[in-house]
Amino acid sequence: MGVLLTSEVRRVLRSPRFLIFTVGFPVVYFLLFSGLYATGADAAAVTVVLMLNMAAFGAISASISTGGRVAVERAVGWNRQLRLTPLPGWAYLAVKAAVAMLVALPALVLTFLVAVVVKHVDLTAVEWVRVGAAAWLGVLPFAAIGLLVGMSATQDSAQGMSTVTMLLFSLLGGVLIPASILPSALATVAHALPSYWLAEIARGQATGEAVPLQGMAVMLAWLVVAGGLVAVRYRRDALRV
Amino acid sequence: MTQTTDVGAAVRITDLTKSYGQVRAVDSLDLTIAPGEVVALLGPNGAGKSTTIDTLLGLTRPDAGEVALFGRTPREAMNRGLVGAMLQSGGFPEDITPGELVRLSTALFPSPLDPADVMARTGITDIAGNRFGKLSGGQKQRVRFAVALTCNPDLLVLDEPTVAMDVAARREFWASMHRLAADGRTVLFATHYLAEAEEFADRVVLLRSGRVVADGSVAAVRALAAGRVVSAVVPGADPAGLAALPGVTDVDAQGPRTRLVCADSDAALRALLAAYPAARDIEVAAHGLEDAFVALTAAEPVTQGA
Repeated sequence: MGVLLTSEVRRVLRSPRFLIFTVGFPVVYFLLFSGLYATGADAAAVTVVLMLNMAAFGAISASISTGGRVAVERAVGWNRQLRLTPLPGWAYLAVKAAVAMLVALPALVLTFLVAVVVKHVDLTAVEWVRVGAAAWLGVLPFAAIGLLVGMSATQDSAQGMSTVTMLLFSLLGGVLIPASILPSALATVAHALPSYWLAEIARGQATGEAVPLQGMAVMLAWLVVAGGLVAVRYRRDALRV
Repeated sequence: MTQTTDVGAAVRITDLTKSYGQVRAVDSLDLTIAPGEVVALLGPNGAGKSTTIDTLLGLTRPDAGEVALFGRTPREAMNRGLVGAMLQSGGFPEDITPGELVRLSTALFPSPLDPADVMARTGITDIAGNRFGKLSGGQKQRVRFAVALTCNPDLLVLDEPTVAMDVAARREFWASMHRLAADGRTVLFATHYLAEAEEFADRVVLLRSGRVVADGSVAAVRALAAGRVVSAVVPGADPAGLAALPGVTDVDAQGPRTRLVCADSDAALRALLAAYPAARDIEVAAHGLEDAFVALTAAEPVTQGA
């Protein structure tokens, strides 16, 4: 599994365009939005929120597009090829999820770095670790959701489906538009989405709040349901061909 | 697995049936391959070659019947690295390199060959760092072959290994196949190139409509469609009349020349000249495997050109 993971990571690094997009966009958005909105007395708090929202946006888009690329591998028969080896199906999926998690890291770390250097966000080391860990763990449901996109889409529809999925979660989850300005019906939807809680739980870690139970439950539910559907689709794939 | 399964057989397929919707791709197929045999699975498109191979490799679940590789299920055989396979097309992501593929196989299998050695012997060392998607068709096939070989398999399964290769590349491929795989490995390859089967296999299994229609040495299969072919320019010939001539089993009357497939070419020739005195440019030739192939795999009596 280690060798597979290494080769998967090397493949990702081989397409710098992919990394530039998933890392570049959140950083640019963060600089843009914080310049526009973090101006009043609460500028510091708003900057932290924007930093986490944009980092979440980058991490979500990176992990979902990584999973979406599975559709291309299915189309060329890579899964079939791997089934001719002792590698079990779950290991393939686990490696893919791990890659999605790893690919999400640069978006988180670089957004944080830019926030410190350019916007002088000031958190203690412990707070950074807690914020970073919370945000990164919050990517887990999206690794599963990305895989579900990859297992459901065709080679041609994969990119479109990834983009739509990423935008839906980002917009409805209040990552790109603050949930507080959404109409109440949409705010209810936001509170049922892992994207909202990814940013919200991470923000709570910056201010020393407890992790809300509802947030944990929503995250876990998405992870379990998406992961389960991935397993079902993988089995169906294996029987069909 | 039943106790009747012969552990000695490299491949034992028993009463295998697989349908896709209304189409029966494989129909009660039986096939046993002894260790060390080099077997060609020959047949036209849709004969069931790929379905048979997919089932053999455990990639497709059969509707009925059993597959055993060295007395084990395909999955067990894979896990022990007993089987190396080269699938027909695709298979590898475009952005992976041959070196990564070979090293990955080395890491996944229990008793692999040395990766550098495999790459050197299959001639992919100099392209080990290139992206798979950028390789030529022949290079891709060499990489597939290297990956199939890396697990040091007892059984090599090659589905149309030389498809999309030119003649020179095909020769080179088979030469390296023989160098690398001939040391006691069992080889099963699917092909629709008759010359390949004739040249490289100890044994030919002809498939048609998911069934084995002939199975034996190249000579034996050729003899199955025994007899000769009489071809001539026959003015005013009608196929039905020609087919009714004694000794004639089949008629191909397209083009200027008429080809008569004959069980008894002497009797057919006498009758032909008696019935059509104007027949000229007569040739009598032995069947090649190509003709045996056409004769044995045609669902209906042959009417199209060879």
